[in-house]
Amino acid sequence: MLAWLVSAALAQTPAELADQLTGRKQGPERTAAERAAVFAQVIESTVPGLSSDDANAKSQSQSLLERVVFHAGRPGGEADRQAAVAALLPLAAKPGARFCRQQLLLELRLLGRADAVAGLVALLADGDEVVAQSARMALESNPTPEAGRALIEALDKAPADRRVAFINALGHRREAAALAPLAKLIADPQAAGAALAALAQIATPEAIDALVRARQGATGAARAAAENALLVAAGRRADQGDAAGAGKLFDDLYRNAASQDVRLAGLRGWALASGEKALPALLDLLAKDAPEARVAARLARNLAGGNVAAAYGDKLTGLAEPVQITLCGALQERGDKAALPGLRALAGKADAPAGGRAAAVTALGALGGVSEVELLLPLESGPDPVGGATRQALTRLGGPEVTSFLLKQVATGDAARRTHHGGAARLGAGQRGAAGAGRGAEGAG
Amino acid sequence: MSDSPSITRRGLLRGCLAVGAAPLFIPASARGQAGRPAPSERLTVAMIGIGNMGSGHFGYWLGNRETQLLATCDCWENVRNGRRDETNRHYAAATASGTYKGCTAYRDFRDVMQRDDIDLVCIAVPDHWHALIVIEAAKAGKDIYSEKPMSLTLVEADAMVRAVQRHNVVFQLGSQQRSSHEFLFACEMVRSGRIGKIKNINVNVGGPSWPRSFPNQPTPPGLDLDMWLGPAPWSEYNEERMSGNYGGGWRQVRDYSGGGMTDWGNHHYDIAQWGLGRDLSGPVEIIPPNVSPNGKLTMRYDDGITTTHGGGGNGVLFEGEHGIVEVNRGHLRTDPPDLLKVPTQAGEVHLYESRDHHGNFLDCVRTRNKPICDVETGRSTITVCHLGNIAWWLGRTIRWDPVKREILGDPEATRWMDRPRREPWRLEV
Repeated sequence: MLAWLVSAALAQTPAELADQLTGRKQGPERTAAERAAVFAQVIESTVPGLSSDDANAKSQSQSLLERVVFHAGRPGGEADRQAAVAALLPLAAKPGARFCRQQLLLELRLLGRADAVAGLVALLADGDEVVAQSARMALESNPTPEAGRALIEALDKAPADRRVAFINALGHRREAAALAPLAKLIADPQAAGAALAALAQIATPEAIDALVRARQGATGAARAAAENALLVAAGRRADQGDAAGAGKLFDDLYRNAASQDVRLAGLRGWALASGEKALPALLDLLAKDAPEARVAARLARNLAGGNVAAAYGDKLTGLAEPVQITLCGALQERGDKAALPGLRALAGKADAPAGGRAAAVTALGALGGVSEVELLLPLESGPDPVGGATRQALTRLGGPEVTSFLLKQVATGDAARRTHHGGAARLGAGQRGAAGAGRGAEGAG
Repeated sequence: MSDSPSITRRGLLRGCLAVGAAPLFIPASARGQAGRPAPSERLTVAMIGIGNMGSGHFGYWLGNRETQLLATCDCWENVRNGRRDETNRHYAAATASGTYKGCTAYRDFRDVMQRDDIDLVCIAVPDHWHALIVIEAAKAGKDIYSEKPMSLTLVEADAMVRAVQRHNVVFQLGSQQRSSHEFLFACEMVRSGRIGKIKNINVNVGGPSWPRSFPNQPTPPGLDLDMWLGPAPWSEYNEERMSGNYGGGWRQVRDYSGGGMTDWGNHHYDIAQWGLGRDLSGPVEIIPPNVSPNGKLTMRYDDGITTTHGGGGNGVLFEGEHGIVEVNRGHLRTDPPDLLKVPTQAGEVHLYESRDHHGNFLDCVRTRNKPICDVETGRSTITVCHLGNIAWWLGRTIRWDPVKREILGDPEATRWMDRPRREPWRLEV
């Protein structure tokens, strides 16, 4: 009876079956055995093309194979997925053309679950290095715990020159169960870098302990690798909601890391994990004659807290010019109007550095409103960069009341001020688009 | 804080120790061309990848008075050595002695990252390499100008954002349309409501890449094939497969690129996102051509606005309740036509303005502020492109959570969010 059913199911042309398996046409209801048979037939039909030297034949077979696999992987298509995996595995295991086996394993990477693990494990030792590599990739993408366990076992058995591939795979999957073998490999100079990176991805408290131990007493490149791994792991902890744990790690890196880049990264991480509690320390750092000052300034953009913008703004006038420029940009990006008093103070401070004042004016143009006009008008005719920044800012200030205010000033002011205000009103009414529109229109085809 | 054991030049740039060097802190675009800064004040550059796109960047850095090109890096020996020699000849012409040998050629980008005297890297390699090189550069504290498309996968884009932010480096994506006036003005008109509520945006770019087969050919002398392939699956050499030409080449091969969807898509979907004000978000439903009633890849945002792919417009066509704005390079058209004669008014939306994409990057390297197409913006745009590809490849509708950055209810589609890498390469997320 079964044989008859299978035979009946197969009594269709290959094109008809392909249409059904790719979802183009509705096929008949099939039993598990019939389904297995039709998948085996269609998938096997691609092997000659995939094994051919003819590029067109290869492409056609690739395309059909892929469409079958993608359709089998659709939500609700579990029976088809299983049938496709069952058909792919034996073909991938058969000795044959490398390209063909590589393609079959690529499809298993997209489709395989627990049902594919044993077959893929067998291929990890394949004599063709590319096939073995493709099997590892298929296991790496396999979302089941069985695949993770298989990769841990494979790492244990792998020769020294193949270990990095499995370490990377376990790190990418964040296999917490791989902690012990990975920690052990930190002592292996050939595998240490990969093992540290994998532990950083896993980032459980135990993985972090292993990283901390790896850092102790390490020097040179080994210390740098351990500290970079700790930095990544701290970020993972923060993402997982462990702000306290992340903050502690970041703080330690900020204070003790060998490289300046990692120390600055630690500072940033610590501040973001700490939120507004970090504000006093960051404000102190702004005045420091060191790279920390500009990292602290950039943090004004996204440090959490309702008082951040105002507190940063209050510090603006007393800072070095480069820090002022960075901080004004960060406050502008933050978009919090609480920074306006500080920005106004800097913009209006005649003896402040020109670059800082220009940055403050630019930020006022983005954040402010009609209240900025009186401050900005006298600056409009000044030398660059403040004058130029002011003219730009006046075009950006929001609200029709800005233009009304400017026009009123023109009507009531003395001759000199009328000149300035008239210019500002023109700018306030908008200047940017006209020339640009002309340019755009010229290019119209 | 202990004394710094290794204060680098980049550290000085990031800090304020160099406050006396005033030109460093006045944006280049505001400074004019009054003399070239002294060598000690120039930003030092390494070019990584100097093929088709890289050639344009190479010319920019070499010709820029504020930068000094110190390194060329490419898998092709003739390319890296040829560009090195060209660089040395260029600088030699400006020296009294007529000699200069300060530019070095590298086969492996990791050796470039070891150099502490390089401030910034410009990356113009095939797409499958973007994420790994960007992340290594960020770890080395280099500021980064990277060609688009930003990444090969969604997860790579996330990893790039983390690395750039974690290491406090400046990142500019080569979506240079953001620095062109017609695109800026078009998006300001749309964002300011001149054509009313947006209903649909037609984005006219190519389709996805596909798996492609090529006959094996002998690897030419001077090409490091293993390095060219890098994290991608092993393949034999083929001239067409590894070519950078725009009509074919690696851009059409899925192992290395997302095809027209991510290549030109990274430009034009970027403008669609900018015009919608969705720089940090994206669509929630992606309907492939074989499913969409209109026969086009269609993406739907959470407010009902859609984008449709291909045909029907020149570049990016915003369709609103009261008119249209159509924009492409050197092309701006509106209906009503008079819309474009009215400049952006006070009170309308004024977007981040940059008139020079490289110059904006250099300004931000000095100010440490956000470039016009920073890493987060780049991630959002490439996310749109990747989702379009995934839905198109699979032939089924994808649902996407732009906040959690998850594909919903489709475990096999979720596998397309990243790809395994050939050893020894790994992605540091």
